[in-house]
Amino acid sequence: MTTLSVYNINQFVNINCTFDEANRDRLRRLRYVTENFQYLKGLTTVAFGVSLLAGSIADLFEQSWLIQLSLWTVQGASVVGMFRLPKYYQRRFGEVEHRPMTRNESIALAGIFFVGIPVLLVGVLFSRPLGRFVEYICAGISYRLHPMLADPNHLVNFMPILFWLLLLVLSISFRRNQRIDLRRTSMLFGGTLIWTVVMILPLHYPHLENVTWWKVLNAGWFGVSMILIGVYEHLTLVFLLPRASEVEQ
Amino acid sequence: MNENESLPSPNRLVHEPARLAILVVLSSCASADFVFLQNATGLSKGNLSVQLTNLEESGLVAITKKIEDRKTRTTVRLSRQGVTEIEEYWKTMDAIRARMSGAKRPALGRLKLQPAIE
Repeated sequence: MTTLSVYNINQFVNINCTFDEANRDRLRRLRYVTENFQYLKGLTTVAFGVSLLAGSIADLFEQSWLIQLSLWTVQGASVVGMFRLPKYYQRRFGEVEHRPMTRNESIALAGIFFVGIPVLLVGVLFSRPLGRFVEYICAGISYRLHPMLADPNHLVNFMPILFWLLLLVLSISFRRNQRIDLRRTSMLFGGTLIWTVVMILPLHYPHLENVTWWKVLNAGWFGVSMILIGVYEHLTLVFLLPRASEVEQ
Repeated sequence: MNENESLPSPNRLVHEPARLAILVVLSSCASADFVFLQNATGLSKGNLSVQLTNLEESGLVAITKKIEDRKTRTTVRLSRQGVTEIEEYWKTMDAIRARMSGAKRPALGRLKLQPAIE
């Protein structure tokens, strides 16, 4: 910490120049939380993930009505939660009105809008041939990728790996706070690795395809991913906010 | 005469840690409510209230109160003067840092501010 003596009109004032690393870090955290508050409300994403997971694994337990009923209940509860959680965040963490967009951001958004609308229109008008074309492309990629992994029976599900890889690339591209975003990037990197291992496991252990936990992960990968991301976002919010009164200390 | 006499002097109203934390939060958004400010800064209700009153009296922030669900909701936003003051503050801090250590790094990274209210 540096102590400065600053001469003011008729007095010397000792100002503790509090711009040591810890203080700068605290202010950066504050700025990050405020700017990203909307995205850090992770429990809503968790509820969305639970709802998706319950819906996507229901087919796996068709024979047991009790499990089916439990899954429907969970799904219903998570949908209710999705609507109630914003209120919880408002009560517990308060509310922030984000800054209006800058001129450049507005121009970028307008650009996306004017490009997006015609693309959407073309998509709707030519949905069938486009769908067939996309399917053809995906099948082509899939038929090339699977033999590369010595997977002629298409045991590996590439979707979770690609999804986490996309998140990882986006996280690296849009880093704002180096320290906090580095943690997020590490988490996404870890997630990508874990999903890759989980999805590739049946190549070495083919019997896994019949094991319940693997079937749940394979069918409900999107829901599980949403839950993991939501939990991470919520924990980030909780840990970034000061636990004790740092300022008053 | 002291060697440091010619150093620029930061605004003491802004420099105080609690008020600086409040101003940093407000400079990162259009407005924030009392609960968010309390959570973000870690200040007690009483202290936050006093600091906000000080800032409002100095014309750095604008406070609005409205009743929602039979509860008073206090919203705070940075005034145009507040934006200018905090911009000046960072410039001053950068100048002091540069003078003291020869560092060129800004005190809080690149902080581009816009007035939250017209």
